[in-house]
Amino acid sequence: MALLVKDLMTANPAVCRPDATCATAGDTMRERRCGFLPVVDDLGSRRVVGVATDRDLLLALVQANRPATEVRIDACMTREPKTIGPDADLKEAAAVMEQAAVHRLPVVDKGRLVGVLSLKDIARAAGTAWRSSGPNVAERQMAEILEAIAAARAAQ
Amino acid sequence: MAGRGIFGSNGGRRAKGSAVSREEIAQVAYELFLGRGCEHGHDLEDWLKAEQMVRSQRRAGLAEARTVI
Repeated sequence: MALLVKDLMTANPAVCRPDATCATAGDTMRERRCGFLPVVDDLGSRRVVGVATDRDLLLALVQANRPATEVRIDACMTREPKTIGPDADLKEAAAVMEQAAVHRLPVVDKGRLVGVLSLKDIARAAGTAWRSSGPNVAERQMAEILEAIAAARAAQ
Repeated sequence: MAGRGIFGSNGGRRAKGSAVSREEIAQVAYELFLGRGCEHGHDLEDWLKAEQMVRSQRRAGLAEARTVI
């Protein structure tokens, strides 16, 4: 049986609002030990309006030449990011990652953020599958996915 | 952006009102990186910490200067 996005995603990921500052977002990333934050319009509705990586924040701070407490995350986030549904299979998720050349995707269900799927999640699952069951269909599927994404990034 | 480098056209000038330059922050951030044994993956954390350190030092320096005056 094919693995689905909801099987591997990180549920209830850290988020921030568009008016959060880079200082706040950086603190959240440090506390939650992540380098990627979905930006939601409201903590209740959790509608994704953007995503930001630690690299986005750092580059914005260097460029802005202003204190991190004065630079808002909506000034450096990627707007309208690619997303994936929780019931999509990994091949579909990999295709989206490959097309957008990203490592992480917000997982959105009925317009609401429910998780984040990363290339690391896929790799970890691949490692688990290899250790527990040896060569099988799931292993080959994940190996193909990893190769496709790696090839897409190398070609950039 | 060829030739401008990471600091862009503003070089290491101090930002208006911040009294701290990117160059100063970058130098301290680099020292934090070295202090951790050149372990990668903490760029943002180092930058934010360096910014706090430089600003604190600047505030302390200003306070001291005012006391002397």
